[in-house]
Amino acid sequence: MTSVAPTKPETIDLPGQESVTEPQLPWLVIVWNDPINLMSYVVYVFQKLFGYSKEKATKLMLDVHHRGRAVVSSGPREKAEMDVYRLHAHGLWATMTKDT
Amino acid sequence: MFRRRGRQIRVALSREDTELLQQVVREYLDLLDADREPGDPVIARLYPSASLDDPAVEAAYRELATSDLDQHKRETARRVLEYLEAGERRPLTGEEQEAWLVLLTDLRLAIGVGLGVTEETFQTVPNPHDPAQWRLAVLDYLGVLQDSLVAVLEP
Repeated sequence: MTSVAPTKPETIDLPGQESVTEPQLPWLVIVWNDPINLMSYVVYVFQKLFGYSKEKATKLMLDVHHRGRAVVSSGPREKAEMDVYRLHAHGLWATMTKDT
Repeated sequence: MFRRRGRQIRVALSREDTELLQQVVREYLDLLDADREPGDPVIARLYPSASLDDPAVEAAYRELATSDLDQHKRETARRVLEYLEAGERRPLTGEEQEAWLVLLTDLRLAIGVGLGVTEETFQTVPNPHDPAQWRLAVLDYLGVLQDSLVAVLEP
């Protein structure tokens, strides 16, 4: 599985109040195993969409295959939605969830 | 099968294979146009959920993405169908390579989910002359075709 880069908490200054620190937890994009897509194709999609090396893409594909799922990217909600869309547009089964 | 020579990628298909592919792509376009039964597993797989546990995330994603995804699927299928119907065997443009790659995925998903295949299904090679195994044989053929395309593409 990939590790998620820690994100810095975002500080919001409201007038007349103490500054409020709101941690911005990243969203995780998860690809789920399916019995139909070819392994070679899934590796290709991970390389193409995320710019991963063949080695990293292959490791992720094997994680999906053997463990049933793998986190393939993370980031703000908008990025996660876009990544899920691009994966769906390539026929992969992807979901997003807030990191906890 | 797909072959690369230098920077050019071409696809070599017999007339029978071309006709089979045209038929499968038309069936797929009909499927996209048909009334959608709630809970249809093929449609659920072609238009997957973006969240398993948060209906608000799922609804926001559907609002954002479903119409684009639907349009993308139709354009992809039409691009490949036009190429097949033109009958010419010129090198594929970059857009056509991408369309073939994505469409072969969706065709395999539509057929495979429709048949309820599992990973065990692919342990045996189906017999295309057995009517009961014919669609499995088509699924198998589409996989061989797609594998040959992935092998000549550079991410």
